[in-house]
Amino acid sequence: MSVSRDIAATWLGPRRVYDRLLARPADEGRVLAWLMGGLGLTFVARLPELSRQAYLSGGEPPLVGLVAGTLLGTLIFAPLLFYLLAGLGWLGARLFGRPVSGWAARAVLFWAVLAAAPAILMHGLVAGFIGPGPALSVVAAVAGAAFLLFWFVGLRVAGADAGTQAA
Amino acid sequence: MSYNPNRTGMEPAMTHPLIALARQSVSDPRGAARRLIDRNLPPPVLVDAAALVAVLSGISGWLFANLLLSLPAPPEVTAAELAAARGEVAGPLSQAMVQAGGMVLIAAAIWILGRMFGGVGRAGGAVAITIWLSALSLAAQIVLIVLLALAPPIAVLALIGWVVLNIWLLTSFIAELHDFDSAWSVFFAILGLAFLLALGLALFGSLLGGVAGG
Repeated sequence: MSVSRDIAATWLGPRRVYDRLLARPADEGRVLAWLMGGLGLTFVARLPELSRQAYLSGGEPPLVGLVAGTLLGTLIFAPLLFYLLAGLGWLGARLFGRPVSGWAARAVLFWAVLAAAPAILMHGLVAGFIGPGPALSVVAAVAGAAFLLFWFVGLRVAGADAGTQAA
Repeated sequence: MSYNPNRTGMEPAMTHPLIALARQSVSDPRGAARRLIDRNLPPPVLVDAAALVAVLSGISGWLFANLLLSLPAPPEVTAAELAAARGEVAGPLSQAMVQAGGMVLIAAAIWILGRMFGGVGRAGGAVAITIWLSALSLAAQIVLIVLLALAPPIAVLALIGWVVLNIWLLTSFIAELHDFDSAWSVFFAILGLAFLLALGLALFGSLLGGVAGG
């Protein structure tokens, strides 16, 4: 299935999608592409809000500065932090007695970021066009909960796979 | 409560059964949790109890926040900042909804994660201990409100004491629900998991942008 259909399917049944994604051979490039794709969409999602911020503050700091800072943060620093977070997820799964491979720990986290992208885009729109308020809080909560849920379900599926292979 | 252990505690007695259970929760958390879980309270009772605790917690939380803000502020806080903080206190209804949602999440986490660790607890028991802990928190909050009105410095100490006790009770309740031997391993699992989730959420939240929290 195409990536976009897999993203939609993750919202309906994350378990099935993870089963399929993890069944494919381990490929670092593919999961990195998922992460960078998710972060790329995140960067785009931030633009309306940055524009709003620059407009409301009268261009101080200027929009270009805000965009540059966000670009650096989302596409250069965030990936490194997500690799760290994947490592902690790997450690957590191990402590829970459901060890997963390092690649699987990265794959499920990076996929969770990409699969949450629709909610991130929605959040960006609300942040840019409506601004802070209950609507934004709800979208942020949905996005955050979806991301955590996808990550967690992914770790579970990966852990269960590892268990059956060992048995 | 000791003169007739065979009764379920519904009859009028010297001590109200809930107060007796609250006392036992402090002196013998695991025994109290076992008693509560073994009652096998039916779902409608649990839903009603959760709703009641949520509503009362909403009211109490709202009072608590307003009372905190009515204390003499440190000099570096301006009047405008104080007014803004007062405006941001959520109303009792929304606090009750947050409380209810929180209870659902915590009960689900206790049940599902405990099962992953090899626990044997059932969903009804997880819900019951979650509601009971929320009810105890509510009672503690009411005590804190009174203390805050009478003697703020003591209230601060009491708050710290309650936080420690709360974590200990949660740990003991979970250990009893899932029949875990060591409460300490439960404690570290809670700590580790909370750390992991908080870190993940913080990183994700930073992606969403600064206004997400505001």
